[in-house]
Amino acid sequence: MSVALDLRHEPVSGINHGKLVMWIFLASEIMFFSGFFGAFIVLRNANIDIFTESSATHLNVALATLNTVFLISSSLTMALSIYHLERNNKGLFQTFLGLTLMFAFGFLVVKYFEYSHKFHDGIFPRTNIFFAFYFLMTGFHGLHVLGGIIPMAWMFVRSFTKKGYTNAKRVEVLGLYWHFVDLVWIFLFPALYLLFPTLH
Amino acid sequence: MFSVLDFLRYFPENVSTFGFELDRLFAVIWYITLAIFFLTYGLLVYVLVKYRQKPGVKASGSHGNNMLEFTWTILPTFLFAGLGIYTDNAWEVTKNEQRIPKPDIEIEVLGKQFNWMFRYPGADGVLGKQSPKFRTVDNPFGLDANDPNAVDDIIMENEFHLPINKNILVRLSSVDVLHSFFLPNFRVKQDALPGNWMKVWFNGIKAGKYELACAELCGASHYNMRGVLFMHAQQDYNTWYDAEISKRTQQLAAFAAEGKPPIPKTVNADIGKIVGSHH
Amino acid sequence: MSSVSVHAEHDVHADHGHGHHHEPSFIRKYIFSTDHKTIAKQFMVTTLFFLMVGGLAALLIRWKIAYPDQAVPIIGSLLPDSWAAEGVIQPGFYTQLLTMHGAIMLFLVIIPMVNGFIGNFAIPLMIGTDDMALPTLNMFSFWLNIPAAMLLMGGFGLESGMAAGGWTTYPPLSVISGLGQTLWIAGLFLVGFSSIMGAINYVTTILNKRAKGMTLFRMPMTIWALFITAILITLGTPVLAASLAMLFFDNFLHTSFFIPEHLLITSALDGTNLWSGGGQPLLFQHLFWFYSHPAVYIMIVPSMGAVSDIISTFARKPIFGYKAMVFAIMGIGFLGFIVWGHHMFQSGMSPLLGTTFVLSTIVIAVPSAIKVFNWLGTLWGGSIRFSSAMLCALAFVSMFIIGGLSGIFMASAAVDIYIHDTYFIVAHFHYVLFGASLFGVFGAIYYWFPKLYGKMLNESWGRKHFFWSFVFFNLTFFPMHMIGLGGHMRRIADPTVYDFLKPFQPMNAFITWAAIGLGFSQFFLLANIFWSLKYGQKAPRNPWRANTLEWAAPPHPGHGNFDTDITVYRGPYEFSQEGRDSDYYPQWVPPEEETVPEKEPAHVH
Ligand code: HEA
Ligand code: HEA
Ligand code: CUA
Ligand SMILES: [Cu+2]
Repeated sequence: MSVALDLRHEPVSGINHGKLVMWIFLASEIMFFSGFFGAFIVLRNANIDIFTESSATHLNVALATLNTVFLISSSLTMALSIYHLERNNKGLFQTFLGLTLMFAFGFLVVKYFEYSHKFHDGIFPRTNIFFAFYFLMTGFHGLHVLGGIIPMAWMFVRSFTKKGYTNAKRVEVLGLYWHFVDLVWIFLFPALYLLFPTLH
Repeated sequence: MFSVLDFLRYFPENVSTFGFELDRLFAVIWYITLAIFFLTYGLLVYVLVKYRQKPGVKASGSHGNNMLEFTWTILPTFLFAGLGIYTDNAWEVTKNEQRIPKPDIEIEVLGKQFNWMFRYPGADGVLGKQSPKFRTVDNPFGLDANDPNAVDDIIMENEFHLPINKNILVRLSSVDVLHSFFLPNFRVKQDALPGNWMKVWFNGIKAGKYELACAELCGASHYNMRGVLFMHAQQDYNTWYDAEISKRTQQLAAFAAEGKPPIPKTVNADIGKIVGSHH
Repeated sequence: MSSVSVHAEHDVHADHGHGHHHEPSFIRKYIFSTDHKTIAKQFMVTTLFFLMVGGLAALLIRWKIAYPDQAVPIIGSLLPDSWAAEGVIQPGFYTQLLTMHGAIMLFLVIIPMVNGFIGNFAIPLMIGTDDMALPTLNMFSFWLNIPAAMLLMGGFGLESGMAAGGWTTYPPLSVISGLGQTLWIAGLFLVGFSSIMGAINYVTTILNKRAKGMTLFRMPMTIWALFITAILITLGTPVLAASLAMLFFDNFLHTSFFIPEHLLITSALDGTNLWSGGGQPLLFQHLFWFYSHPAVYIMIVPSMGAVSDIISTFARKPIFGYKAMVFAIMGIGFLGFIVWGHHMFQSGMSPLLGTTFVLSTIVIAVPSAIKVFNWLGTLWGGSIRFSSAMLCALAFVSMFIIGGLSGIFMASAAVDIYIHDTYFIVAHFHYVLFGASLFGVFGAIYYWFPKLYGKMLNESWGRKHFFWSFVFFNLTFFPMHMIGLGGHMRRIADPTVYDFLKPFQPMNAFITWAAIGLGFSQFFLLANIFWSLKYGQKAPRNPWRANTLEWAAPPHPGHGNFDTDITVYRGPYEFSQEGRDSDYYPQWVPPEEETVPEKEPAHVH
């Protein structure tokens, strides 16, 4: 008899597909940002004055700190939402996922103000080599935040339908990604905002 | 018939001191690889003929042999590593700035879509001050108009002259995109990097007319970015050089008479780099 | 009754769709299919198509070099004057052609061929599973290639023309170029994204979905090769993506990552010079080659894997030194990341750095040497069948030796000074890319077509295709070594500008005619494929009497691949083992079961 048999079996590695894919993807992502950071290091050393001057005088550390708080807290709430979904406390899952969404949005809103303020001052990516990096790196990081928000929002909305949202594995994988986005920012923040020998 | 396979005969005549060494190294690798080629191809042809399918003959079931594996890992390693170390000295001699012999003549060469520009010291015998800041389309070297030493410098386009048996030091750069300073007969090749001054040296041993090519894609006319190098015996070189100097002196006098600036002033090509400028 | 021939009887029914599988709609089945075999076919067809496009570009290139001021026959009259005035190709158009040729051949032909085509077909079948880990992602990674390809050639028909920076797109040239270049950069970014998604899927599938008993060291060479390659892609390609992002910023937003101060340049996009400077052109080259050297192995390693399996099968002999072969691939993969500087010896990079790159580069030749000798070792003592698949595999080995050895010259920085950016390089990489990698793919097509379409390809046409391609290939590319040593630069539209190159024009003409021959030889392949699809004889389940799992599946397997439970009992290369009357021992045959060898199909030997 010739029927296609079900060859699906437990993942050999013991890690489910989604998670494994995400880990490998994150390895790839690390290389991507390493490209930027490598270039950053080389060109910062070559243009140390421009970097320190522009960073010290044109960046708003306060706003960036606020954003850092947002992201770190969002990582925490993300973890909590997974924790509660696994123990299927629907309500708490929704609260924490909602909070994560809020923080993520908050981050983008703050970024929006930072950007528009720069543009108003006539500062553009081409203005100098420092701002080239500023817009490049925060820009791509921002895109990653957006890339996290979309599935997050989808899950959030789904969780209110009568079927509800129950796929803890998915949320966990998204969580992995989200922690990475957070981590990248933890590197970006000092590199762009704090990393200058304080001008006497 | 096999002369076709004698790769060494395709090289253009070498007329630089270190060229012989470089060609010799090529020859060494050529003969080694030729040996490897015949070894491997010999084996290949042999097994293909000997072990082609024959009725009733069954293949051996051998999975391999660690001793063999080991040998043909170790042999190439030593051979190749040896090659690398062996050819390194020639590389250092030609390219390492610390190893450049004391120059008898120093000139500057600029790549500029799609021409080669050359700068010689003027009557005062020194290359005057220059800065990219002063760089304009008519003053690609960015000569400093306030520096008398710079004003009298001699600029040539797509043609330059040098004496034989002298250590020539070329300071090489580009004002726009990448170019590559390629003198086939001298076995000299070096990319011209905008924003950097590369040091290139050579020592020519034969007078004559040689071609300078651009070996790095630099745009639609890359193929046409050709210069000519005339190598002279010292005294012929001197006559040419003196002639150029007097030409430039007369030119400057003429400019002074007409009230023209010695170095043409045009608006600098780059704009809008002040922090905060819109557009 | 042997298990194998029992299956053979079921082929008729096993052929198409399966009982409880409700047939998917046409669209889902043939267009947006998530079935890895369909995706493999899609990759094969598109890459063969782009091979024609890129090849046609190559022939235009060749004509211009051989006859710089003569109109291109036939095609020339069709081209607009801005490209070819009275049919004579313009230098500007020439640089666009060579850029497109290089980019198409590398990113739309060879990489998707060895990974997209071979990978998608071989991985699930050879590890004994039904499909990729994430079939939808897989489908997506194919379809992303289409918009990517459109962007790559985006400048087509634009006033400012297509990208013309060479496939290496060095700044500042690529930064000051026009819209065609901008689109090209975006397109390449997408290509990279697509191959990363594919690779992630491959790694996951191989790690997670192997059939019972398929331990890592029972995997066929093809799978090992694809596995290592996929890892190279996931780690290397993102760096290319990063550098392309910066290049895009420089080109489109006038940032200065790669642009130093005070250059006399204007943007072809908007005629301005707004670059503030502070960047370094060399930085791009480092980032680019950090990806692009591993990339050249991404372009050949899967082909090496397929060739290993083909050689072992048609020599009826276990692969020689299986573990050594695996470690050699790992070695190539790892070392590939520390040799990128050998493309930059003359770029102005510190000569001391150059020295270290010489050593690493020369070391990387060792694992390749190991592979070559192991292939020879596999043939030694075999019982060799010269099927067209085998002939192509042998072409791979022989051409790889030549292409590899010419690499040794350039690996020595001192020798590279003179031959850098000459046709010696062009000869080198066509030997490894076409002579080796592409011939390997041809071999893979001849070898797996029966499983792919359930029809046998016509052997005698296959041999003709091999023969004429092989002859014309060498006639085309071997002389390039010679003109290269004559100093003939790459990327020049008209060699006759230089007196010292004039003597080589006859040889250039010879190369061109050989190339045209090479081009037309490919029609044997095209014709063979189309003819066999219609009239080819029906393929048995295991036509080559091979050991690996794909041959356990019915010919032209349906969705789900296998109709028998798959358990792996042994390594993939148990050919001609002592004390067995059949000269092969498939991985899936239980030890107690004895297999009477099917009688060998008449058309092989
Ligand atoms: C499939 C693609 C592929 C492969 C496999 C290789 C393999 C190698 N390549 Fe090549 N290379 C390219 C594709 C490839 N290359 C491309 C596309 C370019 C041009 C890019 C551009 O500028 O456009 C290039 C350019 C290139 C350069 C830059 C040249 C220049 O621009 O000046 C160099 C320099 O070192 C180089 C070296 C090598 C070496 C040492 C190997 C080695 O891996 C080869 C190892 C193999 C062998 C050595 C032969 C087999 C071994 C034996 C037969 C054993 C015998 C030995 C003993 C017994 C001792 N390659
Ligand atoms: C896999 C990669 C690959 C392949 C297969 C080829 C195939 C060919 N290449 Fe390739 N080539 C490159 C990769 C490749 N090339 C790269 C990376 C560069 C560097 C680009 C750069 O400098 O940026 C390059 C550059 C390059 C140059 C140097 C250009 C220059 O520097 O100025 C030349 C010149 O002769 C050339 C020639 C050819 C020829 C004649 C073929 C022939 O093999 C083509 C023959 C095949 C066909 C013609 C297609 C099959 C035909 C049909 C199916 C039928 C339809 C065709 C007809 C009607 C005839 N190539
Ligand atoms: Cu200048 Cu090519
Ligand atoms: Cu390389």
